[in-house]
Amino acid sequence: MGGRHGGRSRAARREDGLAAVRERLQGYADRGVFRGFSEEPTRGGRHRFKFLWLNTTFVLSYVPVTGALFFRELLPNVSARSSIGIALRSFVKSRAGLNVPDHRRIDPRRAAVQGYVRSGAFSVVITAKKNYHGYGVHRAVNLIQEIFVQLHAYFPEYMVENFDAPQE
Amino acid sequence: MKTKKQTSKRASRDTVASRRDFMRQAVLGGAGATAAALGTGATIRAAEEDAKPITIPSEFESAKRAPLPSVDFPMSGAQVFARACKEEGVKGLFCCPGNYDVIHAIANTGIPTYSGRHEGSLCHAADAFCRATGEIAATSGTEGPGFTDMICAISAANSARSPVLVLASNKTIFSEDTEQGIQDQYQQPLTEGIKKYGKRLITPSRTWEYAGYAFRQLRSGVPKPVHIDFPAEIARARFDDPTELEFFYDNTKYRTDAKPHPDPKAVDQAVQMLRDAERPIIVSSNGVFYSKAWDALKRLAERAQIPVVESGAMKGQFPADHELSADAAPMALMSADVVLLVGQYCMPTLGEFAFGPDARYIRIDPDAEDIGRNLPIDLGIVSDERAALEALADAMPRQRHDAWVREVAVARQAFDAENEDYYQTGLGYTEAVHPAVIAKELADFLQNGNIPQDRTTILQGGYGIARYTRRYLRSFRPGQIVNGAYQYGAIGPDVGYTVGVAAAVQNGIGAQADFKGHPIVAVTGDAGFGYTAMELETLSKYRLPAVLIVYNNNAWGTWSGQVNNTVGLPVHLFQENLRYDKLGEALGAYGEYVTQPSEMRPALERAYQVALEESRPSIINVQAKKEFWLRDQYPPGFLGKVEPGVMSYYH
Repeated sequence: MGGRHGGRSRAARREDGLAAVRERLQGYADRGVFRGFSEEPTRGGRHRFKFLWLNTTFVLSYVPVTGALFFRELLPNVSARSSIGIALRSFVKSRAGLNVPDHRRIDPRRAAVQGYVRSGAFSVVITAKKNYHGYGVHRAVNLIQEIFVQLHAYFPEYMVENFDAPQE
Repeated sequence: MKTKKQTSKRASRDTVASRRDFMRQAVLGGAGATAAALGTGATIRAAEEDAKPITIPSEFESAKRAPLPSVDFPMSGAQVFARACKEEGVKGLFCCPGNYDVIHAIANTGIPTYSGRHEGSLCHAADAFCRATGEIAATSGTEGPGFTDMICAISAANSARSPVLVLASNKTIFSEDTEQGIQDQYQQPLTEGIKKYGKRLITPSRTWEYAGYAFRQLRSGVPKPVHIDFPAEIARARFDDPTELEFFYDNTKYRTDAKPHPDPKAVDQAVQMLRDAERPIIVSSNGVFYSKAWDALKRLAERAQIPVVESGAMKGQFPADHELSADAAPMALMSADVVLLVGQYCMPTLGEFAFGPDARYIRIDPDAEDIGRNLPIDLGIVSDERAALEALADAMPRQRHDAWVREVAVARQAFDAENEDYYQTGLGYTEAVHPAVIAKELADFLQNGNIPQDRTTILQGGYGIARYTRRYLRSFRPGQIVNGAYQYGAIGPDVGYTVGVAAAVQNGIGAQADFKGHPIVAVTGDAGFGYTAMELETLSKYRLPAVLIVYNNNAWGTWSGQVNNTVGLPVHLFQENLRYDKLGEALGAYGEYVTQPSEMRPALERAYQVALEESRPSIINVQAKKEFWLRDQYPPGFLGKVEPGVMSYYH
């Protein structure tokens, strides 16, 4: 689940964090979970990882300095006050709750999670604390699949309209 | 409160009265007003009252009592092929008239034979029969039109991996390409990609040999349809003695019942993966059913305390009331760390099953060529499912996964609570009958009341309605639930499927042996009902006791996606409040029309009673409204699904 890298220089910790994120994502690619995987050129201190998974292309942005892992505009066509927007925010927030099994919970001591709607799209950010960057990316990838399961279960028409899920 | 008997009597009177009222209203309203002015109304009323009752021709009873003809050389090609079908254990034939030599020859062997109204529907029936019994069924149609009517059903059977033997006549070899006469059709290219094997028979002396080709395919590996077409030169060929046939010996010589067994190293690796897992899970699918591996499955699950979830074209290999059943625990699936897929022939891509990205996969399948398709594996085991599960159960040490089993139980309770919420919400909608009410009342009647929960075989069809009924109905024994259109997603096979399931239970074939003669229940929607509704007559003439529930929301299931498309919307709509129950009555079935939530349970009870006492089909036309699919107006609206488990039907 990643690890702490205390007692070292900030630069070294950044490098370790990046390595942990990269290794974790590469691991999913090596296992065939991601059907395609690439690292995009760094922009403004953000490392960008692109991968094909769940029949969709995802872009994960990672900022080593802050430990933030972004899935920006993860879900298009979501307005803040819509039932789906409300449900998604609530679901993401709930993932840190004590009623979630430990192996699925986003431990607030190790990472903060937030879902938000901006410019008509739903985004997710997980911010790894204390250099738990490997843990952060692990939880982030799991969270994305949990969100997709929720959408298939409760908002099938959204998946039909936005992710080409079969209508039947 | 009325007694059941009073209710039943009242219903009976209402049925008689309402039939007359219906006819009266038909002639007084709308276009009927013209007829009434012309005096036709009175004629119709009189005709209705004086109409002769619907009867089953005496020939049906005579046929049942008639001794089977003794067939021996000299034999026709059709008789030779029919003998192979009998010796290979084909358990049912579903057909329409056509391909006469072959279907008559098969019927004369004593294989239960059902004829219906549309070749496609009867091919669907054969598919469902396989999925309910685990046995091979044949289907037949005539030459070009009858054969092409079956195409959708063959494809659906192919997706469901059903061992359906598709037979069709095909003019003569001599007249090929001439368009002499009618119905000319070169068949085999049309089933390309939707069959396991196909052959147009052209050499009479090889008829028996090609039956061997067909049954080698049907009886080995992953089942799929086999398509054989019979030019007249084959069906009507005459063989005076066995020397005129090639390879005319019994099936122990032309095929084997041997099954592939797992590599011991692979078993060791699987045991190690399962031992190391904290939250292992088994996915049981088609292959467990067809290899009759449910005892081995249970032994492995209990020995290592591994939860089991089902998927596939039929359900019930693992009982839903077992503490290790994860079938109705959808939100636990993400927690699994090792997934053992057994006989999952129709393989999802990653993400279509709700297992998380860290889950590792072991796949057991008899077909090495399919292992690794769609879903990356950590270990592949090429084996017959029963052989592999037995090997694993023998090799696996006893283990406990108490925390994981508790997590599954919590998820199960949460799912049940959610379904109860939906039901209570549905009860509040009194202007029509909400799908949650239909589903809950049906489950309570069949599985939580006086009827033993494992007794009733269910055809789980429909589109939107199935997203509710799947949540409430459970399977407790192999073959209890046939999973509707499944991966092919055809709209409308359900009444055809109902014929197949009802025939399987009527004859107590295969997995239905212990439930012979009991009523079955089928669910469909109004859109799907339209495709195969005439098979109500088939159900009725064969006295198949099926209770068919039609969810009547006046629309195709696609309606809600077009709600803002004003111009295009009528494409998705029907006339409202159609009386499918009357259609059923006109075809010999018992009809109920349910318009209020409180009427659902009594209607079910009456229909079930008709099935028990008269061995007759019923149709319960349940009036819903299309707006129930709009979440903002009628929560919870149109529901999605999580696979695998009770809700799954794509895979």
